[in-house]
Amino acid sequence: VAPAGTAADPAVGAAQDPQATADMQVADQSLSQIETDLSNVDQAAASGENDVPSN
Amino acid sequence: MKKQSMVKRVGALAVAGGMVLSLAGTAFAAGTATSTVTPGAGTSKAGTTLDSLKQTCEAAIDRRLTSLGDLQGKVSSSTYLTAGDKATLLGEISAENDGLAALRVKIAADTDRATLVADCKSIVEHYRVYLLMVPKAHLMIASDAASVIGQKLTDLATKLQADIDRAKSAGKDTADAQRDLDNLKAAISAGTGAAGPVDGLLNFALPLNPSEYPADQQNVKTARTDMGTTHTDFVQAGKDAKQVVADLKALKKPKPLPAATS
Repeated sequence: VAPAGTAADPAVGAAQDPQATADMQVADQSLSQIETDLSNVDQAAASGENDVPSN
Repeated sequence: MKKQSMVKRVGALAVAGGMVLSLAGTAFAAGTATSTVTPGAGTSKAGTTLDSLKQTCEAAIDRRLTSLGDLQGKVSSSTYLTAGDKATLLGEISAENDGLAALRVKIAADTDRATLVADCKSIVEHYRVYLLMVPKAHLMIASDAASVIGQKLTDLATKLQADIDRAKSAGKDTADAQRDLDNLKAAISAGTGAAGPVDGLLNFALPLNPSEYPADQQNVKTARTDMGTTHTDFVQAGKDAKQVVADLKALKKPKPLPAATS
């Protein structure tokens, strides 16, 4: 049982919850993955298909 | 690219993907697929030009086979792709690889310019490695990663809302925290919404019928824009989440007493 007064202390909630911290880290890592993928999409588009003779 | 490296890459693609690349294996292992210009007695200018064109086209195929090998590795190792998306992509990468490898063999055997030119055009028109296959794979990975982010941020928002509710019940002024949490929820909703159509936009098959290319290319461009929007929204959501945490921590500090008046 938590000592009286701590249940309503917001700093003992998500801010210090390991699972919440883990969720945030996963979200950050996934954002980095999206950045990498979007960069690869742009590189492929810039690379183009112009290395093949057309006539 | 060195030919030996190409053999390794194609071989690795076949082994890693558990796929049969009989045509590619035959072509590369036999060492007969790369055309060489052999000027000398009896070699016409037209023949030399034909050989030169063949080499250009073979190099274009080799470049794509290398890219497909790299892509196969990224798709196989992705921890974000769903099993279904991974199977779809690996099947298409395999089909593109096999088709291009077979085309390489055909090009090496072409004897007239018209056929050779048509086969070279097919490298682009039937496969679109750089304008469809590679973008499709990366956008599907990004879309599946966005699903993970949306879920994690939603879980986090639920926890933060519970914290705010508790603080409010304890008599704290939670206006700032609630405002920032509402912003977080809106950003999550916007990001999730922007990513929503992406899977449908990428639901085209490769290798492709050339007539489908304009529509497929437009869908890829739209999906790229959507994922860019998703990324922006989720970056904002991350900032909002950190701000809510800061707001909640600030509630813990005692408010300064009002200045004494005499």
